[in-house]
Parts: sequence; C-alpha cells; structure tokens
Amino acid sequence: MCGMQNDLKRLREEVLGTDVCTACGTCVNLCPNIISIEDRIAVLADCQIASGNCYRYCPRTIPDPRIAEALCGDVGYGGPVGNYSNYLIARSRLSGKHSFFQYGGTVTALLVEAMRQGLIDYAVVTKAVGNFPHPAIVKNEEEIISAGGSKYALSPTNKEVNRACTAGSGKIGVVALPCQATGLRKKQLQPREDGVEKASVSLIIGLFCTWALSQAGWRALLNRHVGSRFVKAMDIPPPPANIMVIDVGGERKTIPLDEVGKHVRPGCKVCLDMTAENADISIGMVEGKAGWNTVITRTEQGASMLESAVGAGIIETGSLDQKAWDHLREASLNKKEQALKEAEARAKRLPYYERIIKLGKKIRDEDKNGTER
Amino acid sequence: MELSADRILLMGNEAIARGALEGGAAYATGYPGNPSSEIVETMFGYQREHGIRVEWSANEIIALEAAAAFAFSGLRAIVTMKQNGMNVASDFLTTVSLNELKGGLVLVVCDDPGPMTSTNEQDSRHFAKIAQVPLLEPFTASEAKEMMRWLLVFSEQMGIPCILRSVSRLSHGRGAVKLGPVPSQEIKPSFDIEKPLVGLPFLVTPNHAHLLKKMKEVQTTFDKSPFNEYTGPNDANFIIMATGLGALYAREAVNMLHLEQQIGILKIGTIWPPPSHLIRAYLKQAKDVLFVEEIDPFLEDQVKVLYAEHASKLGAVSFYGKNTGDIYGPSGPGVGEMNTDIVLDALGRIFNKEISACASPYEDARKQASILLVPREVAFCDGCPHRASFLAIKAALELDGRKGFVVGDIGCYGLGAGPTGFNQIKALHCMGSGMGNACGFSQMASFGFNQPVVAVIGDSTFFHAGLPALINAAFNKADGLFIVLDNAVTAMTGFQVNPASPFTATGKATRPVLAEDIARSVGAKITVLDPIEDIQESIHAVYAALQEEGLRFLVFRRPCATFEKKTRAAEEILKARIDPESCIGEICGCNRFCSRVLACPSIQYDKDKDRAFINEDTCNGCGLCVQLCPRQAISLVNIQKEGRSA
Ligand SMILES: Cc1cc2nc3c(=O)[nH]c(=O)nc-3n(C[C@H](O)[C@H](O)[C@H](O)COP(=O)(O)OP(=O)(O)OC[C@H]3O[C@@H](n4cnc5c(N)ncnc54)[C@H](O)[C@@H]3O)c2cc1C
Ligand code: SF4
Ligand code: SF4
Repeated sequence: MCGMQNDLKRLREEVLGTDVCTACGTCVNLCPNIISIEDRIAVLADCQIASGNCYRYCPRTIPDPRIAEALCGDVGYGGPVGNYSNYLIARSRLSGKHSFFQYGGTVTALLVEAMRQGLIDYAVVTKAVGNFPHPAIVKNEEEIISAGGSKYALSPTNKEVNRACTAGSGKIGVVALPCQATGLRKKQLQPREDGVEKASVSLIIGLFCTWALSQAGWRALLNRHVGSRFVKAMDIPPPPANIMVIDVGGERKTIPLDEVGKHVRPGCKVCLDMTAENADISIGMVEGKAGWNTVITRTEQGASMLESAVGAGIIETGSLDQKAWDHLREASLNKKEQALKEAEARAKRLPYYERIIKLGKKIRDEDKNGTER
Repeated sequence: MELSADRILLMGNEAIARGALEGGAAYATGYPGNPSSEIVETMFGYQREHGIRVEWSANEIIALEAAAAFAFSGLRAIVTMKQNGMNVASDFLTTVSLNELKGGLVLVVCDDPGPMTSTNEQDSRHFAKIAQVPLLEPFTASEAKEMMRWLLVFSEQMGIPCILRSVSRLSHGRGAVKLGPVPSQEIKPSFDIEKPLVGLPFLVTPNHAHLLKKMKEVQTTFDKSPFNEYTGPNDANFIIMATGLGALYAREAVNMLHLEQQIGILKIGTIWPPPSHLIRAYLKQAKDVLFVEEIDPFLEDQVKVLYAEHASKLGAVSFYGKNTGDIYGPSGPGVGEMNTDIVLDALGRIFNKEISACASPYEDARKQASILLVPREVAFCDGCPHRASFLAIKAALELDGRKGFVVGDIGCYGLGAGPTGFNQIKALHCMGSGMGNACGFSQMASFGFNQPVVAVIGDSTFFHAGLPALINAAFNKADGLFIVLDNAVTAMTGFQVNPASPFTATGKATRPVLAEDIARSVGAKITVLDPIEDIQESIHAVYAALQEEGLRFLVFRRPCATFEKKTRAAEEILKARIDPESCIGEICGCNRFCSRVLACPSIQYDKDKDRAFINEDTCNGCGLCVQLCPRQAISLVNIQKEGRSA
C-alpha cells in the first residue's frame, strides 16, 4: 500500500472501514475503483490521487471550510431542523393513475411536476426489486409513480446519480434520505473539475429519516417474518406504537421495534439529521393525520417547486399546527441527542465523531437556551 | 560433436523421448508439468509412424498405473512427470515394485532445482530408495537418450520398474544425439492370469525380500556400468564425485582452474543402488572427495555410509559436500540450482585459489545479452480470463467485508497470489490443496471461525486432484465455495488437453467432462458463467454465492486467451482501442485504472501525451477494460474487417 496519505486512504480509514458509512453511494461510480452491491461499498485498489471527489462528497467527511457555511445536518450547524423557509402539510392530488404512496404522495407529485415543468430531465428514485430497494434512473411519470412507497432498507441512491451525471446531459431530480441529500449537496457545491459530468442535480427532495436498516438485516427480518412472500408496503407508525408494520398482500405483519432496531445500519446511529437539512425540500409524515405529509421548504428551488405544483393543482397544502411542529423539532433534537451519545460511547477518534460531537453540543445548548430559528 | 543425418541436435526431453522410441516403448503417458512436458509431446510425433500409444492422463498416479498395465502384459511403457507428480505417483510405485513385471516400465521424473515453475525444490531420487527401484541420472542429452533406451530393456530383464531422473537444465538444454535403430513392435500383449500381481499383506514380506535380492544384482550390473566414468589422473587423490549435470560443472571448473593434473572426476550415472564396489575403489585412492550434485546430498550420504562400512580397509578421507557446508550457492548448501560457479567457489576455497582470475568466457556474452532483457512483471497474459475472475473474486470479498480469502493451488491461476491476481490467493501448495484446505476451514465454525473461504482450482487440476476434495466436501457437509477457473486447456504447461477438452491429445473426439456435471451429482449449487463477458455479473455471482450456505460450485468458463489466439478463426480479430479524445488522462478520477489497477500488459499509459493506449499487437480483445473505463473511452474493433491498421 502506498505510504503517502491520499483521499481514498482517508475515506477507507475514516468512513468505509468504520461504522459511520451510510451506503449513500456518493463515492460510488465516480471511478471504477469504488463499487457496491446492495448496501455494501468496497474499494478495489489503492489510489494515488491526493484529493479525491469520493472523499470531498462523502457526507461523513469534514467539508471544505469554503462550503461548510452552506451546509447543515451532519456537517454544519442549522438548529434542530436545519435552515428552512416554511413548514406546512401537503398531499398529492395526482389522479387517474392507480398508484401507491407512502403517506400523502407529495414526493411523487413534486417529482412529476418538476418533470412536467422541465426543471428536471430525469429522476433518481428507489424502486423495489423483489422485496429489496434498488436505486434507479427514471425518465417518465409512470416510472416515478411506480417507485412510490418507502423501503426501509438502505440502498446507495447516489451511485445512480453519479451514473446519470456522466451518462447523459440535463438536469436530475433526486429523492434522497438525509445522508444522501448531504452527499448530493456537497457534490453540487463542488462540481467535478474534469468536465466529465454533463448532467447535474437540480432538485433534491429529502425524506425524513430516523434510521434505516442494513440490507442483510432486512433480509434477516424477512426470513423470520415474511418468507418469500411479496411485501406490498411497510410503515413505522409513530410512537408509542413501537412496531414495524409489513403488509404482505393483505396480511398485516407486525415486528417489535426492539427487534427491528438490531438491524439498523451502524452508520445511522451516529446520524444527526432527521429532516434532510441539506435538501431543497424535506418531506415526512404528519403524526395523527394519515394521508398527509409534513413539508419543510428550505431553498428557493424547493419553495418554488412546491408553489408550482400547488398552482398546477397536483398538490394541495394546509398548515402544520404548532404542536406538531414543536413535536417534530423535539423528535429531531432527540435524534441528534442519541447520535451524540452514540458517538461519545464509540469513543473512536474519527473526524466525523469529533465534528458531530461539536455540532451536537452546540445544538443541544442552543435548544436549552430556547433559541428559535 | 559433428552433426549429421543420424547425429542431430535435441532438447534433453526430446532425447529422452527418442530413447523411449529406441527402447521399444509401446505406451507413453504422464501428466504435464514443467520441466517434463516435452517428453510426451515429442512422443505424440512418433505415435502414428511407430504405432505407439500416447496420451495425457488425469494425474500422475493414474498415468503410472496405466503404464504398469502395459508392463504387466509384456509391453514397454514410460511415464513422465515433474517432481511434485512423483509424490502423487509414489503410492503405486512403492507397491508395484514388489511385483514382477513382464515388460519394461520407466518413470521419468524431471526435478526443478532453484524452481522456475514449482512449489517445492524436491530431490526425487529419494523415491528410488523408498521404492527400492533402480534410478539413473544422465548428464547430457545424448546420455539421456541412451539411458532411457537401456533402462526400458533393463527394467524388463529385472522385472522392476526403473526411474530416470532429469533436471530442468538437462531437460531443456540441447545437445547432439546420435540416433539409433527403432525396434519394431512384435509382442502381442497378454496378462497371465496364473500369475496374479496382488500386494496382499502375507505376500509383502517374501516379495520384499525378493526385490532386495534383485537389487543386489542391479548393483552388480551398476558396478560395471558405462554410465559411470572416471576421468583424470590415475593416482589423483582429490576426487570429485558428481552426478548428472554436476559432472559437467565439475569438468568445466577443473579446467578453468587448471587442476586437471590434480583432480579426478568420478561421474556416477547409476544413482540407486549406488555402485558400491566402484565407489569403494575410488575411496581407497582418494584423500579428499568433493560431491557435486543437484539439490540434496543424496550421493554424498550413500558414499559416506559406504565409507563407514569399509573404513577399516580405507585410508583417511576428507569429505567436502553439502552436509559439511563446503559447496553452496547464494542461498546456502542444498538449495538452489548447481552451476559451475558454485563448483569453482568450492574448489577455490579448498585449494586456496583466487578464482576471479578465471572468469568464464561466457560471462561477457551473458552480460551483453542481459541488456536485451526488459524487466517484466509476472502477469496474466493479455486477455487472460483469470484476470477477470480474480477481479470478481476480489470485488466480491471486499464487498462481503468478512475478511474472506482465497486458497488455491497450481496452474496459471496460481499467479492469483501476486499483483496480477490482485494478491488474492493466500494459501497455495500442491495440486488440489486449495479445495482440501477449504474442506477444513469450513469445519471450524463451531470454534468460532467465520471468515468466508473461496477455493479456486483450474479445470485440469480439478480433474487431477480436486475431485476427491469435492466428494469429501459433499460427504462431510462442508460449507464451501469452490470456483473452477475453466480455461479449457492445461495452459501453464503448454496447452495440453485435459478431460474438459472435446478432443484427446491425439485429436480424437471425446466427450468433454464438465466439472459442474460432477458437482451437480453430489448436490452442489451450480453457477456457470464467462468471467469477462459481464464483469459486474461475475462480481454479483461471486458475491451472491458468498451469501449462501452449503456446498457452492461456481465455474468461470472462458478459453485461455493465448490458446484461443493460436487457434481462433481469422474472420474476427478483436482489439481494444482507446479513443484519445475520450480518455482524459490524469485529470480523470480513475487514477489510470486500466493501466495501473487492471494492469493488462497490453494497456499502457503514455506520460507525454497523458493518455492511456493499447498495444494492438498484443491485445487479445477480451473486452474487460472496455467495461471498466469510466469515460467509455475504450471500444472493441474488428481489425480483420477494417484491414490491418498501423
Ligand atoms: C428509510 C426511511 C426512513 C424514514 N423514516 C421516516 C421517519 O422517521 N419519519 C418520517 O416522518 N418519515 C420517514 N420516512 C419518510 C416517509 O416514509 C415517506 O417517504 C415520506 O413521508 C414521503 O411520503 P410520500 O407519500 O410523499 O412518498 P411517495 O410519494 O410514496 O414516494 C416515496 C419516495 O421514497 C423513495 N424511497 C423509498 N424508499 C427509499 C429508500 N430506501 N431510500 C431512498 N428513497 C426511498 C422512493 O423513490 C419514492 O420516490 C422514511 C423513509 C425512508 C425510506
Ligand atoms: S457515506 Fe456514502 S460517500 Fe461516504 S463512504 Fe459511505 S457510501 Fe461512500
Ligand atoms: S439515519 Fe441518517 S445515515 Fe441512516 S439512512 Fe437515515 S439519513 Fe442516512
């Protein structure tokens, strides 16, 4: 192995070889040297490039100070739910197509609208292949709609984004988990200098996320509870339910969260970001209001996308009541608190841990002081 | 030596084959292995004209057993192998020597001192002592032929199998050989059912006694053998006792040091049983004896035993050998190849002579020639399927992340232990050892062993030594992943056919044996695919197999690229080509993946132009690099269609 320090070596030592990698896929498909199957990421050979995009884009590495300002979530400071412009509730009014959405279908509707408006030429979504998530580049509404519904295991979405960026030209919209959104934002803020990417990401729709399962873990749960039957839908109802619900063609299976929790990817347990703080617009559930989504608009792009969809009549909105908002902030802070504890407990001297401990403490203190942002 | 119509230049192995022909061999077989392979290959050339049966066997013991059947029936046969094969054949050898043969049977074993292509440095002469069979060792191609011819007849006379031992440099060096007549085959073979050849325990002791008695007769013959020769002053009291090529090195060294008047050289060709009367005679004459032989101090030990037995009638003798640490190469006594320099050094020390003064006349020529040698990495050939197979295995093991590893064995794919195979093989010993090791690794789960183990084996090696391991794994419920790297030929030893080939060595159509058919019959889960066609699929296949349990059998099947090149039809000659517009050189984040990581010898990086390029003369058009270039800068072109381009 080459003795000199280089970014791939750093990525291996600080992220891949440790329990912080989230399998977001941002480092995959930038070159042939980092590969993935399911949610496993591996490096084929050493690399002598001192400063590499894999390391720069990874959500688990410390951002360049020049872009750090623009980032929240795991890598920057933005208060309990990050920087935002508005919060509300929404649901899709897409009609005609018989389809399945996780909650309100806002994600799907936004993507469809973005494509209709020509804001994006294609999208990267997560489809189910069998009972497993697979990231995919899609080019039309039907495909976007068919990707509806949450899959609670991780798959490296951003590797398909990287592929899309070099394979064609145009603009890409991505449905991203918070970690994936952070990777994408870092990439967007530091475009590749070699000019090989002809397409770029122009819309990041973030999903709320408390944790995700490793695919091996998901396979173990399936084997134990579902067998080879097809999973139609799955959900994690808000506390105090403490269960995961799996809909197996009409039959409802429940798995206690304690059991599910054993299969959470270790990288998720040190994640500060519940609300996709680096996305253009973030979307989750609304507690106690089935069929609706909580929406947080963050950037110009996100807000105007939502506006346009409302204008087009494919999304309807309402206001999120203060109690629910407070509760969301609380839940988000709670995730940060947990991550902080976990990072401290792991007591490894990784730059990522040092960074989130610093960030987490800041957020914790500010929250105690009751600062509202 | 003048060359003429009946005196021609032959490679040592060709000379041995010629000796077999002149000795009346009706059958020649063996298992290919450097440095022995050319003997059987030469015999193929004789078969039609002389009605000899020649074939490659699945392994060395089968070869010896098959050849023995000829000898049981009154015909003469030879079997060839490298030293590792001797171990495989030895089980049969040590039992068949107890029976009386009707026809001559000679086992040719070629040792590989200072191994160029072997996993050990074994002196096979010990097997003659173990099996109590005669062994000869030639020192020139001419003598190799003569010994072979003589041994076939002698083996038949004595009814004992015999061994001819060669070494790499003799097998592959060339020398003038005088051709002799070829006898015609007139014997009709038959097996005498009144004389069963059974090794039942109660017969062993009398048979063993009988064998030892015959070996005494052999010794008497050897005492008078022309294969032993003394040269030098009749009263020399410094004698070099040398075997095989050692005799040539000794002569050369003595000449260079101008010690011809002081040193006598006893060249011994009949190694086992040692010609004890002859040796004793020279021990009586000598005050000092230096031994020159390849690998082990085999003659040295025997001579010392003889000396001890007869010490009272012999004078004081000082011995200089490997045991005494007086003759050694750079790695020490008894290791590495013998050569003239080593003998010179030893003599220089003993005679207190400055030896640098007598530099070899060849030294200058050697130095000049060495300039022409370009340093090259030991690498899989251009387009070799193994490169893709090991890339897939490495990728899958890295993705799997449980610190899995590969165990392997002997074949081109053994290079999987080095950089060209991404350093994947972590244990490599003898034919079939990887699969055997894997059986054991898989039985350690109850002790907490949890690393996945992948055993790789070539097609030929699978048939040679992998089958018992497969069956063992199935029977003992081993939880293993076996990967057969099937390139359709025994490539490393020179593209010999093997049971996976659709033709026998003589070109007769035969039913190829598919490894997966056998594995299926023992209940293994089978996957078969071309490793290069879709490298991502190959990676997925290995990864998926790693996630499963039970006996898994994956065949990576694609013909050896170098063999294909020799045989493929001419209408399509594919070459990879890099578009210098699409390749962006160092600024591409791939860090020269094609030339540096994939490291196919045909792909190079031009520093000045900052572009990768492909040497179309050597490229075999496998298309692996095409799939991996992140810029899609590489494509395959059919140069046959476009006409040969510059
Ligand atoms: C692993 C995971 C954990 C989540 N945790 C929470 C949570 O704790 N609280 C909360 O409020 N909401 C959570 N969500 C978000 C929630 O489940 C819905 O995805 C979100 O509310 C959008 O609903 P929708 O009806 O608009 O989605 P839809 O219109 O049905 O669209 C769903 C979209 O999600 C994408 N998707 C599905 N699975 C994945 C995946 N594994 N990775 C990336 N993208 C995927 C699909 O591409 C699709 O475009 C989580 C989602 C996931 C995938
Ligand atoms: S977190 Fe994402 S970018 Fe970082 S190493 Fe893991 S997969 Fe690659
Ligand atoms: S918990 Fe964090 S790291 Fe895990 S999937 Fe969700 S956003 Fe990614």
